Amino acid sequence: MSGDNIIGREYESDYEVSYEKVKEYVRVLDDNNPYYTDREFVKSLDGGHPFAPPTFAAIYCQPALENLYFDPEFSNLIPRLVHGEQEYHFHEPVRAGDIIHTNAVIDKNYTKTNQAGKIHRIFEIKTTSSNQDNKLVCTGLYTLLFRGE
Amino acid sequence: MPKKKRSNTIIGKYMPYYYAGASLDFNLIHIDQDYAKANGLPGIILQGMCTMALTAKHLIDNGNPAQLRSIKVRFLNPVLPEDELVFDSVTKGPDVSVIVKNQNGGRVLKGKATLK
Repeated sequence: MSGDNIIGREYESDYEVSYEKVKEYVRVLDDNNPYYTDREFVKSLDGGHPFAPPTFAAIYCQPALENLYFDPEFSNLIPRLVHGEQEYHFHEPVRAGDIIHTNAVIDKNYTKTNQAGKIHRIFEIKTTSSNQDNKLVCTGLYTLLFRGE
Repeated sequence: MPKKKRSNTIIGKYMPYYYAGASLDFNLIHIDQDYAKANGLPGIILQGMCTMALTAKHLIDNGNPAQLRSIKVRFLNPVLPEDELVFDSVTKGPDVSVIVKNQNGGRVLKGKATLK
């Protein structure tokens, strides 16, 4: 199995958050929270742009992670990929118009044997995302599991 | 006193496709039945990130999204199209624990969050 040599490898991306994309995202979730969808309501709060839902982190981190998934050392593992755990810590709120820079680093790689004796390989990926003012918006920990044959 | 909250969501038949479009997560296990079955799954499954997003929606509940400070979830079992999910959370001070079950009582997600 490949994937041994990628610990410490880093992937970067920039993502511009648009109001239209946020609206598409919350429409899929059937989430009508006015903080995301009602421009006038949010303007009346503090004059700013609509908010992105906290879990929109999955969207603005995705381009950095895509660079990882397309890494030849990694891409052949994809068919057996399962998302095991996900953790996010939120800092400065993300709003429409923000430009989010994300750094993703492969932090850990280990194996776990389940009750059936199958050996799963686990990768932990840390993400750090900051906005255009260099303020931290989110840190994430992605635990990806590759099911044993 | 701990505060309990419950909400329900029906996963639409096409939700994995819609979420794929919105998130650009086009992993074939979410959109191709044959591929999903060939890889040991009962059929296409919903993106875990979508179940997590629905969990955050349950927690934020039309309020200020900045109240959600952190969320940590473990994906326990696949969520399938047309599943009916029940979200149960217990809030004690800033700490929240949450369990999501499907219509068969199977746990699909468990997690912790902090709210301010």
